[in-house]
Parts: sequence; structure tokens; C-alpha cells
Amino acid sequence: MVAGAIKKVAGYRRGAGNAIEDEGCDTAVFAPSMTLDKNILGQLRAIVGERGIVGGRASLKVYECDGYTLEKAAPQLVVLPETVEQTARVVSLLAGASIPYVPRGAGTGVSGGCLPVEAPVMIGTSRLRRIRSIDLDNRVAEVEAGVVNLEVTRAVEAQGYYYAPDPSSQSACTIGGNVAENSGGPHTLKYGVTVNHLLALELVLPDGRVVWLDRSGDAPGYDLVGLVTGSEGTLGLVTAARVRLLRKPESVTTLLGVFATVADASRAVSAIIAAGIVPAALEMMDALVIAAVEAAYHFGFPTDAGAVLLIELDGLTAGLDELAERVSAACIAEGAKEVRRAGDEAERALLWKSRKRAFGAMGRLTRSYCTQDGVVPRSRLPEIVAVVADVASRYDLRIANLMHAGDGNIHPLILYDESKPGEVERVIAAGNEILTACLDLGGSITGEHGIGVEKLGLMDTAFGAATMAAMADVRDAFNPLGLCNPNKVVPTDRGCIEVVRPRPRGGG
Amino acid sequence: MSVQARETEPARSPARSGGRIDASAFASLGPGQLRPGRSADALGGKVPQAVVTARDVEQVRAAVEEARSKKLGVVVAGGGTRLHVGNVPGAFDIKLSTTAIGRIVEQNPEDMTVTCEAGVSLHRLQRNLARTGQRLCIDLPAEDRSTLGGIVAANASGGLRYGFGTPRDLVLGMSVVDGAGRCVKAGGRVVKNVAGYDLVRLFTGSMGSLAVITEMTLRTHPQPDAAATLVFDYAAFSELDAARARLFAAALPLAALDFAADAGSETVVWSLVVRIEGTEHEVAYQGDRVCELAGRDPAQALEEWMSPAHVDAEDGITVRIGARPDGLLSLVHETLLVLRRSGAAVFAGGHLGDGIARLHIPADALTAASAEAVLRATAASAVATRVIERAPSELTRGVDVWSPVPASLDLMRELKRRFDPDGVLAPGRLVGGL
Repeated sequence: MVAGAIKKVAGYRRGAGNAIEDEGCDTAVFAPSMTLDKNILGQLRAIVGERGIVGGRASLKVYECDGYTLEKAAPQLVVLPETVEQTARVVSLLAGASIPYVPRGAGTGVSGGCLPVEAPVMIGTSRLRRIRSIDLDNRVAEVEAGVVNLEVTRAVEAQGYYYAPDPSSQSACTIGGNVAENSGGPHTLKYGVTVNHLLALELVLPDGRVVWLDRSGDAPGYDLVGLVTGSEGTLGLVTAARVRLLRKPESVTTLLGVFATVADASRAVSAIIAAGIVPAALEMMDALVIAAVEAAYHFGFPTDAGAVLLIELDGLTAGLDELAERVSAACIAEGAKEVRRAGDEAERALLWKSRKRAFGAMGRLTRSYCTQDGVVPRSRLPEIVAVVADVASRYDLRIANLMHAGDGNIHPLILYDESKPGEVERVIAAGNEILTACLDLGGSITGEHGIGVEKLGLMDTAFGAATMAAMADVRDAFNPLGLCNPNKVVPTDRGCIEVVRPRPRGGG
Repeated sequence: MSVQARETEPARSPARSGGRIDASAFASLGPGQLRPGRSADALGGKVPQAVVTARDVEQVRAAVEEARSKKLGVVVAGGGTRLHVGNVPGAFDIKLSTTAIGRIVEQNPEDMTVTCEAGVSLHRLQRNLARTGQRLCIDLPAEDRSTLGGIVAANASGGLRYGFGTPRDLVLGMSVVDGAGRCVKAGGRVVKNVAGYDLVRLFTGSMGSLAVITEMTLRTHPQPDAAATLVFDYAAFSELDAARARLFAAALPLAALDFAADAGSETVVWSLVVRIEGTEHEVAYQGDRVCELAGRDPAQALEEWMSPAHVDAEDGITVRIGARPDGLLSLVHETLLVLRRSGAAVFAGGHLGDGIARLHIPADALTAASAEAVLRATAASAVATRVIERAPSELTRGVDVWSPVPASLDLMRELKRRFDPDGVLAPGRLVGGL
């Protein structure tokens, strides 16, 4: 997404070497420099065919990062299985040879979740592309991991249905990646995130077994679908999902509230919620974002505005005008300079295009930027906005603000130029300060982008030791050897045992 | 769905050492917080040694630690409205009540969240939320006795799940004491959060077998301006099923889409029970559309709401089934036919959008033949899931009341082993001996 290569990380930055030397390890750590055995390579090729193997430095460059570009590391090999059976055989083979691997969808993630850290092999899901079945009578579709998010909606929209989670990257990101990250999007305020739309998952476990996790019909036992969703590919490799389809609402209308300041817009967000209205989406863009999208898409945003709110209402045609009036009144009461309503579907589409491609439009303002992702209780938005402004001035950085304001989910976009000495370090420090402030305000260090490699170091701050131990237990229950996407979600820099020691299974 | 309901797999309960409770371990408990178990506390004929009513997290932890050191079985109880659901515990030494952990910690109407402790009753929470024009979209009977801790532990839901989801969709964070004695904080107080593994969803619905829930933060919703419950009666299930299909496919934001079948007399009366909410204008409009799609005028139009899928009776037999939404009613119909042949009066009710139904034979109509018939009919492969929620204990002896055994049972066992290493929490209560 962003140009700007910053630094290459050969292995993991936190003490990979220590882990190898530490005593007490009863299995050798797979050193990042180790080259793949020819024999293994041959067997992988036999499973997925020539077309399913990507090697060579030039081809692998594509895979060296996702949308989080501050750290890069190319795998030695990318394997692209075409079926769940192939995926299971690949995973079995790697498990048998103790070779760590990292799953990857479309690489649109923004926290480095698919960055290979001490994992020489990447398993891409891009060829798992079948929509296996669509059952409109039960509003369910079974789709493979590599199916692009928007393709699910495309497949059913003629019949009046859609798949609700709509991350900004929905025309590229895949269902498998969405499950791994528990992706959200602008419409989560009313419709929830990925996990709220899943009935079952087909999972290739780190030992190569294939298991269906099924929560439909209030299935007995633990909610493993809920647990695996958002686990960032560390509990296994999801190869297919049974997703819920929704009926398109009768009517949709989109309002644009124009405010002098971010603070005014934030108060309007609270006022709308306080009026008992749950919009389908409630998005905020500040002056910097407005300038960028206006330059790119010429929607006609007032460039002198301090902030705009994009408010979408959906539901029954019968109630929409009344709701729109109430929302409009709430905005005006909080000082909106003007509230516009999209005149037709084309205008509405352009508004959303401007919003969803805002990330891309930032390229007009800056050479590089880093997208942060934090959450505060909605009522604390004005406070976190003040923190962001303060951080920007103290670190001498420009920070643009894009927010899923209705969810209290902020996306400060920190603009930078990596050619300036020390700027990258300041970007990282500024981001961490904003996230720590989110925690202090009762929020979270990530609302939808995940921990990846980016926020691993903040996990201990966000959760206490007992909770971190509980999370390590979850990982070890599924992924006891740590071969599947090592060094993600739960920090593993406390010593080698968490990474490589095979844990006893079963019994007690 | 190719799932076999296993009738005869016995619950695999851990062996017990039968240690005795040491009262000195509960020295911190005040008067009335520790008493011997009585027959009214029994589960499947097992009377606990002690009933502990904890007042705070530390007391919960003390009870868990005492159980670990003596290898005792602990069953957590809220208001006791769902204790009949589950296999007979392999060991039942301590009944740990959370009803006295009962503060409403924080109400945040602007954030549409509320934080409360486990012992808060649904009724009390709703009353408090209503003061700021909000509500928790979980509709259950016995609101005054049902506690939030129990509701979340059981993932219990009513008809509003169609519009708002189950507790799994509504719980944002929780504090628990797990079986290893760890005080774990899962999730948070914000509506969107993907930091780390989603332990909230692991604990929600785990029936107290992994951890004791002490506090939780829940998503709230605004009270609607207007609402109505419309009840439509049908003589044949096929007419109801056709109306269901039309409503399920309609672009109407229904709050609930339930059904009821009363086979208590000569003929079966099938009812469609729809909940609509919104502005006055929206409710009027939706009401017209629902009548149109239901193909008739409502037999009743009510302001209040109570899902017909709940069974109030504390005896008889109650079975919950899950099936594909488009196959649920024919399955219920076939089961009713079989049962009527065996002479039993039966009630059924359920959630049409989610494919969930409960079948109930009242105690006075329960015979060996009708009990066997309902178990056999719901064990068919057409049923995706079946839970025998309530039955005379002789009927469920040696039977896993939960089915099917999930394909991922070994993963669940591995989680159980790590979160409850000594097997003290609700041993064997859940599917497959979890």
C-alpha cells in the first residue's frame, strides 16, 4: 500500500539468537538463515505442482510485507495450495520436518500478521478460490479462504443479499484473512464484525488434521469458531468458512455533516447515539484526510471544514426520512455548519468511494504513512483526539485522523518521510504513545487491524500476566510446537521453550 | 449435515478422590456464606458437601483453590434457573453461588455499554438500563432470578437473538477466575477489540467448566420508540412454514421470528410470533408488511414480548434441537406426529431464523413410551444438534445430554486441561465429558 521500504528484518528483532543458545531447549530452533532442504522442496512441489510454488528473490519480493511496511522479511518459499487436501498435506509435511510457516491471504493486513518471522515457508490461500455453495433459503454461503470479500456479495447481490463485513480493502482482501484478523469496516457499528457473521470454519490444524469447527444450531461445547476468529493465523490455517448472508435493507441514505472542529463532530457522534439512533455507519474524517480525498476524488468536500461525519442510515423506507431529520438536528445542535444528504445512489457511491479509498489518497500528501488503529469508549473520542494532536506537535509529525467514530475506533495516519534520519523511530514512538493513551482511557490497542508484529510489544501492557498466560495456553492447545505463524499475538521472547519445546499432549 | 446424535455415549467424568472440605479454608467467609448442602441443592441425586456464597473475586479464588487442593468438584450457580442443563457432574462437592457478587459497576449510555458483576439479575439490570432509555437485548423468563453470570455462562438467549444475536455477540469483556486459580481479564469495555485471542467467546457458553465469571461488560441497545408482538395462527405447519420462508427472505429488520406449536388437545395449533420495533411509523409499516407476508390478520397483537420458545415447567422433559432454518418446522411436525401417536401432549416453540426449537412434554403427560419417542425422534440424523435440557434422571443415566460430540472435542479437552488442570470446574457437565 505504501512505498517506502524501511528496514529489512532477517529474523525477528527480539532475541532470536538468544532463543537458539538458551539451554533447556529440547528441539532445535529453525534458524532464519537455514535453507530449505531440497528434499522438502521436492515434496512440496509434488503436492502443489509447479504453479503452486513461488521462489526466487524477485518473485518473493511481493511477499515481504503486507500493508504494514515498517518491517519487511521475505520468505524463502511461498506455497500456494489449491485445495484443502493439498493444504493439509503441505502442513503435515512441514510439521513432520519441524519447519515453521506463515499463512497469508491477500496481504492487505496492516499489522504485519503475515510477516514471516523465523518462518521460511509462507502458505498463501490465493488459489483456494471456490465459492462452494450458496444456500439463500438458509442465508448461508460456504466459501474458501482465498475468495475475495466483495466476491461473496457479488455472488448474491442480484438476489438481494450481501455479506455484511466490509473492510476498506474489501475488493482485495480475502475471507480467510478477514477471519484471521476478525476484520471490521465502516458498517460494524450496526452489523458487527466478521465473527458475528460466521457459522463454521474449516481449519487445517498445525499437525495437518482438517477439522470443521461448527457453532450453528447452538452446537454443544466451546465456541471455537469465536476463538479462532481473530487469532491471526496462529491457531491453524482456515481454508473455508460458512458465512451468514444478510438481506439488503429496503433503503439506505447517507448524510454528510460538516463541522468546524473535530471536537464538535465528536460531540455530534455522542448526541446521535444518545438520541437512540444506531446508524449503519458513523465515520469521521479530519481536515488532512478531507484535503487528500478531495484532491483525489473531487467529491466537493468543503476544504475549510475541520471535520466531516459520514452518517449512513439504513432500514425501512418508511422510517428513513424521520431518522435522517433527527440525525441532522443532532448535528446542527452540536454546531454543524451544514448537513448534506446524498441526492442519489451515484452521489452516495462517490461518498463511500472517497471514504474507503482515503488510505490510498493519502499518498498525495506524503511519501509514506503509518496507519494506527486504536479504540476508546465512544464518549472519550474528544480526549483521544486531543492526545493525537498533542503527540503530533511534540513529535513534529503530521497526523491525519480517520475514525470509525461510532465504534470509538480511531485510525491516526502518521505521515512521514523515511529519508529523514530518525523519522521512522519517531513514528513508532508516537504511535505507541497514542495506543497507550487509548488504554488509559479504557480502550484497546487494536480495534480491527490486529497485533501482528507491530503491537506484540504492547500486549503485556494491555493485559496482565495471568491473561497473557491464558492466551499462551490457547495457542499451545492448538499449536503446541509453535510452527504455525510463530512470534505473533502472544510474545514468545521470554525464552525458547514457548517457541519450540514440544508440549506433552493429553493426560494431565 | 452429516452429524450423528450419539444416544448412548456415557459422559466421561474424571475419577474423584472424595476429599473433605476444610472449613478453615473459608475463614474469610462471613455468616451465611457457608452452609452444608441440602437435597434442594442436588444435581442428579448428588448433594454437595457445602454451598459457598462468595462476595468477591478473592472468595471465588479461595473456593477454587480449596477444590484444587482436595480434588473437589465445583458447580457454579447463579439464580439456578439453568442448573438442570448439563450432564450430572462427575463430582459435586461445592456449589459456588455468585449471587452475592452483585454490583452494577458502570453504566455508559453514551458508549452503549454496561459493566456489572455476575450476580446481578437480568431484571435489575434492565430496570437500571431503562432509566437511561436503554436495554440489554437478551429476553429470558424468570428475569428476577436469572443472573448475568449464569446467562453468559450458558450463552442463554431468547427470540431477540434474531435481531441482536446471542450473548456471544453482546459480551464485550469479562473478568473470570479460571480453574487454575488465575484472575483473567478477557476483552475490554469497548465495542470493537481484536487485541489477542478472544477469550470472551471461549468463556461465554462454557457452562462454568473453564472459569467462574465474576464481572462482565455488555453491549446495550436503545429502547425502541414503539414495538409490537404479532401472533398468527395456522392449522397446518406447512402454511406456517411458507409464511416463515417469506418473512425470512423479506427486507424487514424483525427483532424476533419465533413459532409455537400446541399439541395439547385434539388438533395442533401452529403460531407464528413476530416482534417488530422501531419508530411509530416504522412499526405501523412493518406491521402491515408482516401481515401481508404472514398471509392473514393476526390472532393477537400485543405490546409486550415473551418468546414462546421458553419452557417454564420445572418437570417433565424438555429437549432443544438445532436444525437448518428451512428444515426445522417439518422436523418439529414429524416429532409431534410420533408423539401424538404415543398419546403425549406436547408443546414446541422456537426461533425460526436460527433453526432452534424446544419440545416439551409436561410431567402429567410423560410416559415411558412418550419419553422414548421424543428422544428417538430427535436423535435422527436430520437434527444438527440436540440437548436434553431437562428429563427425569433415570432417562439420562449413562447418556450424554449434549449431542453431537463435536469433531473438535480433542481441542476442547486440551483447552479444558489447561484452564482447569485439576478438573474441578463442573466436571463432566459438558459434552463428551468436558
